Amino acid sequence: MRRIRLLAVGLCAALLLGACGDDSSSDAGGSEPGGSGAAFEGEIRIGTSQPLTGAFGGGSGDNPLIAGFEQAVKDVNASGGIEVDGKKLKLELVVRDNKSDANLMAQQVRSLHLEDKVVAQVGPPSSFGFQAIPIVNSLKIPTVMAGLPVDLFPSGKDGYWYASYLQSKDIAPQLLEFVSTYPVAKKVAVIANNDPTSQGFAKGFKAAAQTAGFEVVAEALLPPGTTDFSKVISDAKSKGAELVSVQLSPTDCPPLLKQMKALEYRPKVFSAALCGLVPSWPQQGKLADGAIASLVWHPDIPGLPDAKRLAEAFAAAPNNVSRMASVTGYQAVQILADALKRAASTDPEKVNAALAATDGDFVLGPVKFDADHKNVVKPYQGQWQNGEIVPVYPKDAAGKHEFVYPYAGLA
Amino acid sequence: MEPEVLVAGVLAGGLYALVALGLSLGIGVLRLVNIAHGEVIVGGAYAAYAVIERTGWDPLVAMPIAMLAMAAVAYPIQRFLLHDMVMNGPQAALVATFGLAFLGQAFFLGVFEADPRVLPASYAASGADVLGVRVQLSYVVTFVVASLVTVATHLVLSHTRAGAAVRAAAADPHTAEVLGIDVRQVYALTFAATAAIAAAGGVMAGVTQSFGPSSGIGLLLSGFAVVALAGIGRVGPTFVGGLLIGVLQSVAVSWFGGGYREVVVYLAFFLALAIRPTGLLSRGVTA
Repeated sequence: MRRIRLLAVGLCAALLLGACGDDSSSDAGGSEPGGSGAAFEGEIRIGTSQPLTGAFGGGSGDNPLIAGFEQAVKDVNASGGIEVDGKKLKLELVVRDNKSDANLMAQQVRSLHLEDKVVAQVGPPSSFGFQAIPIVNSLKIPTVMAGLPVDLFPSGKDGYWYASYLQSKDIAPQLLEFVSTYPVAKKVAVIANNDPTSQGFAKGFKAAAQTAGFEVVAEALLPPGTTDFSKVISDAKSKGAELVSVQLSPTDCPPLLKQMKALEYRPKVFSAALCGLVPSWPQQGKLADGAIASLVWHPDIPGLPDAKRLAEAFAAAPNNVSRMASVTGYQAVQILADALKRAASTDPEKVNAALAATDGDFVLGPVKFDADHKNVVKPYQGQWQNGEIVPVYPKDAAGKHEFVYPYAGLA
Repeated sequence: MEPEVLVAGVLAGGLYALVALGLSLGIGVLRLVNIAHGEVIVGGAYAAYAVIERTGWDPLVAMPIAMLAMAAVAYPIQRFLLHDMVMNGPQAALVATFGLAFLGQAFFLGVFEADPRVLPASYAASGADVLGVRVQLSYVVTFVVASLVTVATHLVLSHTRAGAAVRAAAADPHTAEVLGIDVRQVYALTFAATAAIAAAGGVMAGVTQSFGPSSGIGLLLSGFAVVALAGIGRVGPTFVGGLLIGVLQSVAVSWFGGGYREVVVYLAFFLALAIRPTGLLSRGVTA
């Protein structure tokens, strides 16, 4: 009996240690040999620390950003790789799983550089990207951040990191300009989580709303995990808010929508800046139809290079939100590879200088970094319709897609 | 206080009662503080999700399958892993359930990924008028389910031979063994029953809210608050305690805004322990 007990305790301890884990590495990524038949004379490595597991992880192999990185690496090698000192080198991607742990991410950014000998990195997503900045600057690691609004970053002047994405402060004015073309009362409700980023978004949205002549009649800053939105719904309904702007975590939006429907609050426009950009949004069925979220890419937006080809490359993704994340990752590697080609060197100063001099068309549009190492990508307004997100504004980007008004999900 | 605040709070409290009932019975009968109870709740939601994905059934139809599934997982864990730890004091079992909680979260993340899920139901977003107040129909359904589960649990414990065996094993397991009660079996079946009740709570949480791999901790904390209010192992007071937490939260949201929703839960938890550790609603005798 004692042995069984000891065995059980030991098993639990092992399970606990295994579940907590340590600094484990995922398999080093790498692309298939180039289809052009080019003979490579070596390899050049880039790396990334990503939350493959943990709170922000999607399970092994399901990360759309990684899929984008890998496709870009594959395409670079298919077109002959990177030439350095007269040698054709195969681009290799090294991926590390930081288990959604910021401390582990920091360790991995260092170890990718010092142990794995990567010459450059594509930055971690979410707020991890900000935390990686001091490390990449101190170790002089040329880094391109992937998928974070550029105005949330500090100045990158004299640093080694670069960011190319939309500005969060462009979203609200564009949305309000768009909404103003419809018969919507100029009364808005703002509902956000109370973390610093969401609060900043809410503050920016309120300022833009007031500039556009909208009155903020109801607002709430709520902790993640909130399930009772009755007070703000009641306020918004009683004061006639016909536009609702939410900056809530993905777990908070479904109960909000259900409660709005149950309490018969039917705003005409529902903008879901964060939760509307998760691939699982359509799981809510009809409730999800009609929500607006900002896009930076869609296969139907004219003028975006290679949009159709990339849509086919990421055809297995559940919807265009997931594909957009992949294309965002693709761009980051594309920019890095372009700089490595122009530098024709692995020297960090030369790569850094090449990154700063970037000026060309990439998959999210033109990229030219300013003095702060930022490039602003144009946003578009998208709307979820029948389980897929489509561009609806500006009109020239919407093409055949029409904005469905009022919000269908709560009808 | 506006009537809709009170009614909404009472109905929402049904979910807390369902979440806390299994936890309370586990502590009262097995003397096991199950840190993985939140993961059992979420496991029930995922089990129902898996069934609904394949069949398109309503969550209430999938609920018995989810309950059986979680009971089937819980039974061998208690019988072959936790029982001897439990019989020799609570500490080792507590640590073991802590590990099981991590394991559960990792399993959910690996199989179902991190995106939040909902259990689709025709009444999930519908409203209803209760006593002249507009409320979410899903919470009315949850309240009914919680009431039925509570009544069924009370009847089993107080009017059946199995219930008598559970009460005997809870009161004095060693004497119960001497009297011929297979305490290992009783404990395992009780643990399975607590998992089944938790699974029912998970299904209703999936209908009324959303859930993800790490949703269990919030539900577990709410469960502890209810147990602290109600006292350990008491079925009726646990139900009332759940309603009380629901009302307190509803009032806090109404008066101070949504940011104080969780403050109320933790405040109630600590005040209950400070004023009357056996439970504000108990008579001072535990199961």
